[in-house]
Amino acid sequence: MQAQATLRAALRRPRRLKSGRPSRALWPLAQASLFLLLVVVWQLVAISNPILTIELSTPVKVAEQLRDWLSLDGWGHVWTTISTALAGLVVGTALACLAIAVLTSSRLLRAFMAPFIVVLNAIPRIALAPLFILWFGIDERAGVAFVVVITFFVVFVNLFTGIEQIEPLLLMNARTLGASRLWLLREVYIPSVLVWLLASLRNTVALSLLGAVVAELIAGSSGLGYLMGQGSSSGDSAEVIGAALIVAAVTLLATGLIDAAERRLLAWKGTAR
Amino acid sequence: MTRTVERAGLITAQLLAVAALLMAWQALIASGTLNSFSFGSSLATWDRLRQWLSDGTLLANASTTVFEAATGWTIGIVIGTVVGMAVGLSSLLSRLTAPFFAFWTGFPRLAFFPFFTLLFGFTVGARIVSVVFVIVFLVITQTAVGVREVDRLLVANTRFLGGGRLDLVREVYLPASVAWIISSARFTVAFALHAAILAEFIGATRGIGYLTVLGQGQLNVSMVWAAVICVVVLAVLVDLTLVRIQSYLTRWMPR
Repeated sequence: MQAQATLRAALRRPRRLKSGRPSRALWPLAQASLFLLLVVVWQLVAISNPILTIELSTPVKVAEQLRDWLSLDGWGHVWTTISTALAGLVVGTALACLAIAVLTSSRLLRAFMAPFIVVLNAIPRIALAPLFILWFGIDERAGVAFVVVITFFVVFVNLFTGIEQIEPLLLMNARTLGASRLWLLREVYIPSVLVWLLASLRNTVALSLLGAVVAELIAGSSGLGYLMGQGSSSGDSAEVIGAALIVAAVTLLATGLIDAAERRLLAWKGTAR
Repeated sequence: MTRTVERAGLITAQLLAVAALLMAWQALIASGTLNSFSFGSSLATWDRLRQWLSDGTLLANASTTVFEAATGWTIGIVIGTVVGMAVGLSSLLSRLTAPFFAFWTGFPRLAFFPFFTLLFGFTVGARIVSVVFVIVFLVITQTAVGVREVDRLLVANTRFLGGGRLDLVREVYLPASVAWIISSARFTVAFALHAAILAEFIGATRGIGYLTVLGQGQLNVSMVWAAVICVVVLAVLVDLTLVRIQSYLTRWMPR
């Protein structure tokens, strides 16, 4: 017992680096240098071989492409993708909440729907993209519908598991104390749902952006995915890489915003739960 | 007693619901209320499925997709576990590379397939590379996290008994990594399947994704439905198999 406690304490003590404590600023510096190193290696490898220059493209060319886009008509495409993703996200989440609200009313209904939900969840949503393109045409609406379906399932499954995980003791106690369904809804279910929504929002946002890009890639007439497809058919790697980088940047920005919002809104949560 | 009755009743109700849906679909198509061009007919879908089953199209294309996904998955797991362990074991590496991996996680990896076609052409190799690209970063992050969460006592005891870094890897981390791979298999395999199917949407000549796009190109909704059903069945089968394998491999664990 004593030995184990000492051991744990020894393991917990911070290890000192051999060269003494490096300053905190060293890490971002090291990471930035690593990044620059990789970019330089990419440039050198790409220009060493004319075939590779075309296939891999060079950082310089990608930068030029990005500059061209962002100074002219690129913003239109960026906005198309973002708006498709956002619209799909909002509608999909709303539908999922609605479906959950319907399902929570009856345990029998939940049991009835359970296998269907499992099957529907197992569908690789990607495979449905051509279906939507057939229905809505090569149009933003196909993208929006696709994102709606993707977000619906993700949010629905998340909320479903979240609802099931509400402390049943809490519910029983509340009911014993005479809580009405409306009260339960307001004080227990909805806050739980909101917490779960926020928790899964990071993934959902990234997923909806990805869905919008995929739909545009397969058959779109505008948007970042469309630009990727264009680059692919014209053999221009710079376009493909550039468009992908913009999507990555937007995703990181969105997740960063959500993280900040989460810290603000869930500050009350603390470590109690 | 009532539980079994309830279960039986539920299953009957579910089967009836599915049957009713299919019949309603067919009735609406037949009566012209629903445009068969836009929605496809369940009979045509059924015919298409039977045709695919009998002339071997289904088997050939499904096995192509499964092959691509499986190969990509295996390669991705191997690379991801090796890199993930290296990153997880070295606090220097993990701090250094943290933002890079965060970037790649936010990168649209599924949609990046066109880049690989530029490198490798519209070949099976390009699709496999795409699958590897999609899952490798998942595996790396997850392995790195797993390494950090390995029981410190286990590590300490191994060191006590004179084990060096290599022994640690062989006796502690490698077996632990097998456990992570198994527990995350459902997730990573699903992703691999997604990536393979998506890659087949563009410029493929075989595979279930190809069948879907074929239907789309021919404006044949019934064909697309048939392909979607194949995808669903495949995904569910793969998932069920994985659950079985998982419970078999972890049968020694206390529940």
